[in-house]
Amino acid sequence: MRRRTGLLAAALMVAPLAACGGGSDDAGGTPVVNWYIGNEGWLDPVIEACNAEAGGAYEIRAESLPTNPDGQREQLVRRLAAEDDSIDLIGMDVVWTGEFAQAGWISPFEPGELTNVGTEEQVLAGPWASAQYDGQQYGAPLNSNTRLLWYRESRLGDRPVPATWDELFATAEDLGSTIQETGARAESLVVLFNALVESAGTSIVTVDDDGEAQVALEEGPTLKALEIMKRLGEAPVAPAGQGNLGEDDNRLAFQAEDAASSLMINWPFVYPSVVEADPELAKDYRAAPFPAVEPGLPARAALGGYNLGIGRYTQDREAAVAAVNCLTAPEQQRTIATTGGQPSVLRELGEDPAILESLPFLPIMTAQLEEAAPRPVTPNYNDVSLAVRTVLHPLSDIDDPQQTYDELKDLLERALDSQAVL
Amino acid sequence: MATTQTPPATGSVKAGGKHSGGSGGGRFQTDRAKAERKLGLKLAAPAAIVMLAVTAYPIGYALYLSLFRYDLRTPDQNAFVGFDNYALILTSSVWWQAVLSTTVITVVSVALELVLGLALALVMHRALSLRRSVRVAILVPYGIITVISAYAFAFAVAPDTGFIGDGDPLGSRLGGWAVIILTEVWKTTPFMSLLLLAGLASVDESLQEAAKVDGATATQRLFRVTLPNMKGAILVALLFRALDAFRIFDTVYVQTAGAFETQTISGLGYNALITRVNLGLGSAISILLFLFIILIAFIFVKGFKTNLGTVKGEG
Repeated sequence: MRRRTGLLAAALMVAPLAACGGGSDDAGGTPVVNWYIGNEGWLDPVIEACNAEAGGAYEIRAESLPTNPDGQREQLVRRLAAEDDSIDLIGMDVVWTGEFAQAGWISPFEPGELTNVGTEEQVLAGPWASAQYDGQQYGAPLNSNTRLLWYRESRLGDRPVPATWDELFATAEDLGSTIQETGARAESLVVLFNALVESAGTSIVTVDDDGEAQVALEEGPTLKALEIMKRLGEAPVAPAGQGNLGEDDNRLAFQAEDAASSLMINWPFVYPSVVEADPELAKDYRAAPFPAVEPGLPARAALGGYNLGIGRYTQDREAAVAAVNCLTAPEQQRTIATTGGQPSVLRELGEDPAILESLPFLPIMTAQLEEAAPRPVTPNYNDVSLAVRTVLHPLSDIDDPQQTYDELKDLLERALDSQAVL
Repeated sequence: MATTQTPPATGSVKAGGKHSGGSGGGRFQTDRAKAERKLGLKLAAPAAIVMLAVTAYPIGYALYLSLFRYDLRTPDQNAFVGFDNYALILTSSVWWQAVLSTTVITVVSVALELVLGLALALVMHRALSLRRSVRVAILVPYGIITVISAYAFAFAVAPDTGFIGDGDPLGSRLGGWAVIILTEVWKTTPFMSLLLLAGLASVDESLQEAAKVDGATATQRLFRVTLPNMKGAILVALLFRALDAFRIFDTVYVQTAGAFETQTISGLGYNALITRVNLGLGSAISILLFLFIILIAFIFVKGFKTNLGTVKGEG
């Protein structure tokens, strides 16, 4: 008797678990594709369009993750490490692709499997590079993003638009303006450092012929990048409380009526935001490419956005791939760009009139995305990122770039092997 | 009872009573103590077994994991590495910085809490009217979840939503430290004062009266009579708070995320275990934190040379 009640209790406990797991066909025979992704404004229209187009072949369901990318990753990593087979499709921040691929949490795409984003010709160079790992394509680029130099036209007057960091510092001093650039101990600091290092002509991490990742950071170019970060943290261009400034703080500071700053480096979301808040002020907003470290060296700006990955433990890979092909199609890309303010990854939409209307600075972004520098594609990206944050924050503490360089290189070398305390 | 067993006829009542009262009473207490101890063990056993199951097992497993390179991101490289993880941690400047930061936060916040907590305990003890309201008002912060109080203070000092301070205190070194310690003190002083209140209540009123009659001032009575008599309660309060404060995580995570050298040992453990899923390294950090906690408890108990039993009024 006791044993029977025990069994019954066990069965009762297992039943709801079974209902949560798997989950591949509980919509009346239609395979369900569970899509784990941050809560984005464009999710609903895009999913509705694809589900309608599928006509019962599959049904995409969004499993919403936190808005903060670090929070998204933590939840995903925990589930993936536990081999959760309810994860069919993952919206991965571009920097997670290497980590998820190496850990075996996502499976690569076969050549020819992807109809819209499967070849180098179809996709802008920056997003394309971010989706590759170890000679295979693990990510399907979904949308992209890059940071621009924003300025107030009326305040700049007839001064030339700064094209290099030296010019930017000179213009800021001339205008008596701060430069609104993030300084918080967050991923945004790594975004800045990576862009500066790449623009100076080196990389944080390179992968050798055997596929071994190594800390590159050539001394000369890295010192130039660190010198720029040091100057960003000094008066008069450093904003007050820089050590805690994030992207959104800068957007607000720049958008204020009596803003102390006429110059800002930020993602394009600042533009739809000002259009909504103050359409008059929006007319004074102008964007320019991310400044170069040296005249003649190409500026290699930050690269953001999502790659789609297929969960390794999914029970219906075919349906997930079909969903990817729908989500990356030009119509959906256009919806994401116009409602989300983030450029498409498709070359063919680089100057799309519909997108251009809501993102007037699209051509600058498209050009920049061809040159953009992905952050290191390595399984230990998170360690690399934490190491950079640990050493470079706050910017105002960088006294001697040479000393900072030695410290950073030492910590990064251990971090790259997951052997650093961070 | 023991004295009545001695017949008055044999020897003097006084001496015999004294003698048999001493030895007989002693034997009797030993028996009783033995029985009590046995019963106590039986009563405590189920709780102890449950505690062992839910704490000893995870601690043992963490100890085991800490001897491996065990990283969920690179499963093919997992291997037994002995004490390598510990060597790695103990030679890292980031680790020692975190040890220093955690110690500073612990010492400063617990010291402030002791002073404020004692003041609040005296208020609660001496309140003539509205006793219940005063106690509830003082205890409210302790009932608030740490993450919420951390956010509350972060918003209170933020440049856009804040009303405390100029600019952005969390954007500077001194400000970051001050806000973290302020949040900790605000949140946990009530706990300290509650423990101290229990101590105050256990001090015999007649001692106060005697001191008053001898002409001692209020200050003298506090430092010469009250505090020495509640040494046990102070020890317990300091020990509990120091152990808690040393494991500080939420406040720092929410307010500075470890910026400006405010990273704590728990923060490093979180980064290794949850963010980097390097379970080997993270477990080693947890074990070291555990050892620190044991060390603190040891120092307190030995250093104060107080029998913890005094708190229960048995000493």
